[in-house]
Amino acid sequence: MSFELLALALLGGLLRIGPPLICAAVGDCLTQRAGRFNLGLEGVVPCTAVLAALGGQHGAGIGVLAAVAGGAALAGLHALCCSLPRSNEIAVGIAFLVGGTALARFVGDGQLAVAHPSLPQIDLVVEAAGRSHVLGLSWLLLAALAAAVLIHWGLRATGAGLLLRAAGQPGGAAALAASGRSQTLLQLAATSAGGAFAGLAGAHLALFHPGGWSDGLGAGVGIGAVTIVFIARARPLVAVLLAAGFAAIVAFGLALQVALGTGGYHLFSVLPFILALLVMGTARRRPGRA
Amino acid sequence: MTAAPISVRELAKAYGATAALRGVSFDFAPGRIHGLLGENGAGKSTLLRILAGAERADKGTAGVAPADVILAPQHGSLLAELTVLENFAVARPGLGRVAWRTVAAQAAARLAELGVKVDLDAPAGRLDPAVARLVEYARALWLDRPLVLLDEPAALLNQPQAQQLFAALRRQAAARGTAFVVSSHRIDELRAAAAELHVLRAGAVTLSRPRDEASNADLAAAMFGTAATPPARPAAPAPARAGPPVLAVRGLALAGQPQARIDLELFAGEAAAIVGMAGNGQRELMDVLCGLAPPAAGAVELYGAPPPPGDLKHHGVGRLPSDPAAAAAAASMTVAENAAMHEHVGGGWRRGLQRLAWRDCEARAAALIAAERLAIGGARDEFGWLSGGNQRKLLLARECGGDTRLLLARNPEAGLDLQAVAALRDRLAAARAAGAAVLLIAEDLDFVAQAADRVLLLERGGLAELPAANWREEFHRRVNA
Repeated sequence: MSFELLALALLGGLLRIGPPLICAAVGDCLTQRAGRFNLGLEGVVPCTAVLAALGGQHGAGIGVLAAVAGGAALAGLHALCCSLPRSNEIAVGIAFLVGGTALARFVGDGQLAVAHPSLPQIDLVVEAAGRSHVLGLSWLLLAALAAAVLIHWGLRATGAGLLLRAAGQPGGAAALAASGRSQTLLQLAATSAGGAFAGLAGAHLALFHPGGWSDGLGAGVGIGAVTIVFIARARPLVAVLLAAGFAAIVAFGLALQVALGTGGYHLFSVLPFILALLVMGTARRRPGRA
Repeated sequence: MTAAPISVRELAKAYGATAALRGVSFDFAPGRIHGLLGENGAGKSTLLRILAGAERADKGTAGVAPADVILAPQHGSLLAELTVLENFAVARPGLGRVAWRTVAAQAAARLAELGVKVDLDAPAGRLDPAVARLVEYARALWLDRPLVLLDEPAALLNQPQAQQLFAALRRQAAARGTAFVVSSHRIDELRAAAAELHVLRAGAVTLSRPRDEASNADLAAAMFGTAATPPARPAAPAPARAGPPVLAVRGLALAGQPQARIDLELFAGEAAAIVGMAGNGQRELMDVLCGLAPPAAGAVELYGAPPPPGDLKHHGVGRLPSDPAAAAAAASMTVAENAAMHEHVGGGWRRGLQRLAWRDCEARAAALIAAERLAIGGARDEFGWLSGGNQRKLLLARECGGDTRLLLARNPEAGLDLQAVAALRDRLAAARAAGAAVLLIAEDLDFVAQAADRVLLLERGGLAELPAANWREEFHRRVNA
């Protein structure tokens, strides 16, 4: 096993594991900026993967649309539940997490044994160990990266971004009400938008090579994204970098497993959560800065 | 400018068993400044909050749409994590690209009009309370709505700042036909600024007249009923110094002011006031003295030794920060729970595991309410329901009570009416007579004259004692130099 092949396995893993995480994280930046913590994302992602696989039987584009719309609707429902009096967003989030995962497994295992078209991809040809290898780059990833830049800009430069940030602050509800806006509606919109991006993640899982539904698809993507965005303090560009790093760690574990045939690669996927704990333990809240 | 007045009709509002408003009616003519006078808890803030749509009245009509009103509340409403500039922009509806340059230019002009020097990119949460309040008023002027409500605007401002603010209000009223409603508990303040005066007492209108038709005696009678206003009198001189200083500050440097050093010794029975323009390190000094922040350099000593760990109240130190409702109380807990806070917070785990005698706590809180003559429902009311003045009175009683040997207070008189200020002065005098030392960081010079026998000027993080005989002249000479 050469170093080249290890690097290739790492890159391939990164391109497979990274995009769903990045898509979900970019959207969750909007949600967390608006002051909502959507643990339910972990249940939303598998559901949107099922929707993408179902819709994908009529065309890949329809699959993506179905996943995005479904993600937005599910996350919107989460936000609605959270805005009820005496509701608790952690409890609602866990309900969506458990319920969404179960629903996806029920529908996915029952209905989806059929093959379906994959999304078009950009082929990257890499020479390694004397042979050519084709790595697929997803258009959905490029869309998510563009969205990250746009959100980064929009949060600072636009009124909508400012209102969103206001909604996520202590005293935000009163301040928004004074300028004729509703914190509840803003949080609903931001959470739905986060769900739509989770839909992109689901679409990537189901429609990108090799595609199709398999049990456990999307597990860890939602919770990983929420954790990453928390560490990144909801800054989209930082979140993209962290998500890529997170994916690289997992991919490295997988590549090592391929190369050395050892088990225990699961431990690598725990690293980001340990990092999150460290950040929570050491971070000091600083006011200001977008 | 012949627009019809804003007609408030029969507004009523109750919190639990406490009636805050009992059917009040006003006419607020446009293009004028309306002064709203009343004691603490008379219903001023409730009225303003209802007019702004922040609260719903039980009965009656406000006569104005909330979209036409802007309220600058008593405790401020800037968003701490947004910058000054973003706080301006976020108040104007609009989802598209923000015209930052335009907003910045307009904000700077409004701030200059109020004499505020502030970095537009500074997070609002880092501003001194007085500066933050002025930023809020500059924003209210910029928003340019037909009805602008300022709740106790002068409470945290010094005299020149307040005068500049009221001059700006008058200009806007004349130019734009804005109706301003400015609440206060100080007659002199509003007599100078407002064209019409309205008085609330216990939730009812007791007077509503043009300024020139209302004498101070009329206003005082309308505010306090038959009770006479206590006269101001200067603070008693300090006793001879004995023993180690209660509080000693040695070579203290404050965050952000690394060059300056503060030295101060305060002995039993003394009352010192630290005066100066807000923003010269008052907040940082208060934080260090209260043990909330470490000094950048130097040391603080209590009773001749480093401060002991744990709740300083258990070592006889009472503290009243600038915004006590936010920094010294829990709004969603009851009056009794807040009054007993020192009994169940701090003192180690052994104390924390002890069962609290709630019946005693509630009885003590009820006695406190009676002693302070607070017009509130009872010890089980939520602290957050209380008016700003009543919150201060309650916390002051808590911090002053018992075996207090040192009281640290920032603007303790802010938001209190004349009778409450007199009671505060008497309370401080009694504490001094019992051997306690008092340190005030204050902006109201009239109050300082009544409460302190030593006056020190805080300037750019350094402290200088002013001559006792003519400290006021000296203060004005130095501040205006």
